[in-house]
Amino acid sequence: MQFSVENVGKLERKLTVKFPAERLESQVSARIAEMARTVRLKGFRPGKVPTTVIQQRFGAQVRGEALSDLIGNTLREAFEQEKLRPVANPAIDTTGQPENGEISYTATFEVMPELPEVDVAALEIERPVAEVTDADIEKMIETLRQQRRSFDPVERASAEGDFVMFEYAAQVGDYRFPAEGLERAGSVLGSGTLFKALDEVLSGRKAGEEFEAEIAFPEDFRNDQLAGKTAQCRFTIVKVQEPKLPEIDADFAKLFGIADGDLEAFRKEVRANLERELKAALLARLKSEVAEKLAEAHAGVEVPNLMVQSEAQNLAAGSVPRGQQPPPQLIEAAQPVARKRVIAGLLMGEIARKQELTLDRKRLAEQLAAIASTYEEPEKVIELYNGDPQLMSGLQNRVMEDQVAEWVAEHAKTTVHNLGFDEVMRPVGA
Amino acid sequence: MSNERILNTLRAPHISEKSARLAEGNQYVFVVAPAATKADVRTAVEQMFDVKVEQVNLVNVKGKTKSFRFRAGNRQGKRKAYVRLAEGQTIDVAAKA
Repeated sequence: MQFSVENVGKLERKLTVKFPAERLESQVSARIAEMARTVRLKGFRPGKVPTTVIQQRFGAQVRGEALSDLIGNTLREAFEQEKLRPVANPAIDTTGQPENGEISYTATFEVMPELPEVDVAALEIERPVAEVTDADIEKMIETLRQQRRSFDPVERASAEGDFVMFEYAAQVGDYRFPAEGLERAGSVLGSGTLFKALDEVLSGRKAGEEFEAEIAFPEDFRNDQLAGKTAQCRFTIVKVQEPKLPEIDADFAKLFGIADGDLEAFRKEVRANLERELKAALLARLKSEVAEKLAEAHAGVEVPNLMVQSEAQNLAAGSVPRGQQPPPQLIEAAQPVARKRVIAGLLMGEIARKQELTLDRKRLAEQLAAIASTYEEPEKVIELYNGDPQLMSGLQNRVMEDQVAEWVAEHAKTTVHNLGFDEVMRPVGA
Repeated sequence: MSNERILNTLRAPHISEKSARLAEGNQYVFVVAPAATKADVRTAVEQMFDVKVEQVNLVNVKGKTKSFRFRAGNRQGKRKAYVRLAEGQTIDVAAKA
């Protein structure tokens, strides 16, 4: 076998490989002999099929298989000898026909860039730190109460925070909505579910009241005919309900899976949940910070176009509904971000290799347990992960990245940045 | 002979161990229409495969008698044609035409 490497671009390589045609022929005939023993054909007893018939029937297919096998093998040999690291599957171009007793093919591919020495110590990393305080827990519990509030009908006039159910009909010129009768709707006053003008009109009304008012509908109202217009509206208040927040007591705690309704246990549970979320959020922030800084420090690194392309594709795919093809301009727009990400990913991998960071089994198990605990049947989720190599390797990657990010944070010029719980939980860039 | 009759003569190649062995001796086996004559087969093979036919032998194969729920029934029979080609000529039976 002979081969020669040609540098096409900075990272692109063209490999021309030649190997003797006998290698292919001997493989093909070996396979046909093998098939003659096993194949079942109508009209022949098993094992009695003549090779000529097999040649006629399966010759082309067998030849193609043998050829691609040989190409794969020789390519691997060539890569090993040349110490090439291709990024993706190479594009193969061959006639498959022997010339002067030799079969030749060319493989075009991109190689991994030579990564520069990463000087971690020079990086300036801002490490966010935060803690769950009692105030945060109280706030969380308050939110939970808001979510679980109930409404009771009252006789008094409606005020802010009350739920008002009403029927209305709007008239603009000749257009009446609804065309006949009344449309029923409901709103919590002051919550912003409906627009402000309506909230104002509806407050201070009792159940059963009927009245007329002029309402200016906002521009973005969902009914086109009414949007941006002032309409004469007739209202009938159906009922007024007052919100009632549940007491923080045993029954409330039971709603959240604390069987014996112990409030201390409930608080602990809330704290554990918050802490878990906070930890994840902090790590995510640190990770993106490290990635950002790494990419900034090595913005000039040459990265394979193919990787950037596929990353951009992924990014763009994330912003359109699942299963749809993202439009090309979206992919185009995602390119710079994708490039940064690829650089950061490669550098992180490089750091892990240089520092001989290995995957922390315990951490992996912890992460898995954390993911599983948010599902209803944790054991099943863990089983699923253990049974699916693709899921598992995704998780391993994530844990590995976490480890690298932490290692970098430890070894770089790190400034600790104290943040409140809310600040951390707010999405980055918002 | 009409074109339609030629096209209707040959039904399928008959593939078996025997036919594979005979193919080495330049003899090919076809299932042909029940009413086909040796002359029909000769012209059909010569026109369709563009070869020279030396000899045609015809065989009627009776269908097996099979009984189902104690009722006797007959399978369909077939008419086979053994076609010997002139020296040096071949037919690619496996080719999809």
